[in-house]
This record gives sequence, C-alpha cells and structure tokens, in this order.
Amino acid sequence: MFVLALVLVTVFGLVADPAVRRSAHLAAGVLWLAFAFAGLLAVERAFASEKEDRTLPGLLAAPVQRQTIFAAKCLTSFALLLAVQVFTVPIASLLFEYSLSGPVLPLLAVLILGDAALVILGTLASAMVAPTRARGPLLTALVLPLLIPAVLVGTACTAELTSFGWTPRAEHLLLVLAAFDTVFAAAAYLVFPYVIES
Amino acid sequence: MRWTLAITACAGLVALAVYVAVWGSPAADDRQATARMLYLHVPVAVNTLLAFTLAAAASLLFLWRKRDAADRLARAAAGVGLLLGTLMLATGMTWARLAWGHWWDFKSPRLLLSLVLWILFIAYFVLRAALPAGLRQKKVAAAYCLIAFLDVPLVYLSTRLVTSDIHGPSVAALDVAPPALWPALPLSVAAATAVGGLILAASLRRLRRSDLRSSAD
Repeated sequence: MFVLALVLVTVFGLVADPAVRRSAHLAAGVLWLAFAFAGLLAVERAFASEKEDRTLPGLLAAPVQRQTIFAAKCLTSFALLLAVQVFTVPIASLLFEYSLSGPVLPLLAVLILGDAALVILGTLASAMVAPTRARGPLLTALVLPLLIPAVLVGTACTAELTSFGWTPRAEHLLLVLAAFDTVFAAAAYLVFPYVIES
Repeated sequence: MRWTLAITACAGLVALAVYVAVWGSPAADDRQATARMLYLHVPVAVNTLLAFTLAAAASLLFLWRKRDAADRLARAAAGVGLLLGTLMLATGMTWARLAWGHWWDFKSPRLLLSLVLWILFIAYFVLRAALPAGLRQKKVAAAYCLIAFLDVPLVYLSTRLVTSDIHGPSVAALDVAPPALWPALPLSVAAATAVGGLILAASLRRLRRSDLRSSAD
C-alpha cells in the first residue's frame, strides 16, 4: 500500500508539467488519488482474506450484528490508510514543494472525512466482490466512480485550506464532504447485511 | 396484436413529437435552431433518470420481498437507463459542441455526475456478470444498484447547488422559437417515455423467457 502510494505520487509528479507542478490543486489531487488507490488495496484484503482462509462462516456465526462486522472492517482499513498517509503526505509535500501549512484541525477533518468515504464505500464493495475471480479490477470499477465526488471535494478543500486557510468556501466543501459521508455511510450500513449473507 | 398496437402507438407519438419539435418551432437564427436539440436531449435525460429510479425502486423491492420479478424489472430498467444514458451523453455532447464550442466541460458538476452515473450502471452489469448466478448475485446487484442510485439526486441537484455550472438548471432560460416549450417539450418527453417503456416491456419479456428456460433445465 505504502509503496503503491509512493509510486503513484512520484509518477504523477513526473508526468505533470513543470509549470503546474507547484500548484496546490495538483499536489492535493495527486495525494487524494494516491490515497484512493492505496485505500482500494487496503479494503480489498478486508474480505478477500476471509474468503481465501474460509473464515467467513465463522465470522458470520459470531454473536454480533452484521453491521458490527462492517464497522470493524472499516476501522481496520481506516487505521491502515492513516498509517500510509503518515509517510506519504510529507514525502509528497517535499516532491511537489507543497507547503502543508494551513489550519491543522480543518486539514485533519478533511483527511478523516475523505478517508471515511474511501473506507466505507470500499469495504462495502469488497464484501460484494469477495466471491468473484477478478476482485481487484472489479473493486476499482465499482468504487472509483462512486468516490469521484468525494475525491474532487477532498482535493478542492485541501487545496483551499493550504492556499487560503479557513475560508467560507473551505467550510462549505468540508460540509459537503461530511454530507457525502453521512449519506453513503447510512446507505452502506443498511444494505451491508444483504451483501454479506451467504 | 398487443405488441403491434403498442409499437404503432409509440411510432405515432414519436412522429407527432418530431413534427411539433421540428416544423412546429421555426428557428429565427442558428442559435434557435441549435436550441431545438432540447427536444431530443431533455426527454432522453429525464427518462434516463426515470429508468434508473425505477431500477432502484425494483432493487429495493427485491431486497424486501425477494421476488424474481423485481430483480428482472431492476435489470431491464437499468438496461433501458444505460441505453438512454448513452443517448443522453451523445446528444448532450453534440449540443455542447454546437452551443458552447467544446465537446466536454470538466468544470461542470452535472456533466461529470451524469458520466459517473452512466459508468456506475455499466459497473452494475459488470458486477452481475462477475458474480455466480443465484440469490446472492441478485441481492448484491440490488444493493449496488441502490448505492449507485444515490448519484441521481446529485445529478438533479448539481446545477442548483453549484451556481457556476455552465449547464443551466432548467430549460426555462433557453432561447427557443415559439411555440417553444409548450406543447413540444411535454410531447417529446412523453414520446421518449413511450419508447423507453416499450423497450422495457420487450426486455422484461425476454428476461422472463430466459429465466423460465434456465429454471426448466
């Protein structure tokens, strides 16, 4: 995951026009795309490993609600993704000469809300594709289009925060991201039991 | 007999709509002539959203009642939505080229979300094809359809929430020659709905037969 994120950041940096490489929007976009792909790797394992080790029936037999399993899987991938970001963000900011100075709390909020969108949609789709053969590509095809709005808003908000600080526009974008998370979290929470039942 | 009647009625409605939209609204200049694209693009777009809404409603019904008929309806409606969605994007891009001078505008949330919606329902069929046939496949597909459908309100709201969108929120702002929006627009929307409904009925019939055949084997 970490390697993939690093490679993506580097490659995006290479293909970007030198004239625009220092743009805050580009750096934020590259970071969010790298997070999205790293997040996909994290969530793919969430149910793939259960399937391979045939531990899913045992997990489902546990005396907990299906939604608890979903939340636990989400939290695991969330922690993994955060760990990757701890390393990727400083490296990307060096490569792109991208100053991460900005209001710390809102930046953390964007990171957490964006990660939540990634992890919630990704974990749900991971459970969907677990019984199929071409899990990875299918997962990407299912999740990336759903994530496009979140990635775009996350990018815009990150760029706004690092360039101009805590502006009304940044606040608006953060709220949009929070609304996105809420809607999809509620929907995923409701449909997850149907996805996982064997 | 029923099919002949339905197809004839549909063809008549389409012919009437085309007549009113083309000969019923004389264009004073090029701009007004281009704006007539509206009678093709708007009906198709409205019915795309309608078909996806129907697919989501049928998916919800399937998760609730587990009836195969609901699953077939969802599949057929998603197919019709995809077909109309392709037309929506094609007519929209052609119109964009004529009116704005370029085929695509990445800054427009409505364009982007419409494209995303189209991709999501392609993914729906890819997911269906990848899963082994059975109840689980239908449940997962229904769940994905519901999640994908959440994009529809976003498409609708996009031009209303983001004011900088190049795509106008409604047809009211367009400069169209008289008799303009009434009755040509409702008529063309009705014609598109009729055609979509006909395709839906036909594909439902095909799905029902192939399901019967596979359960008989």
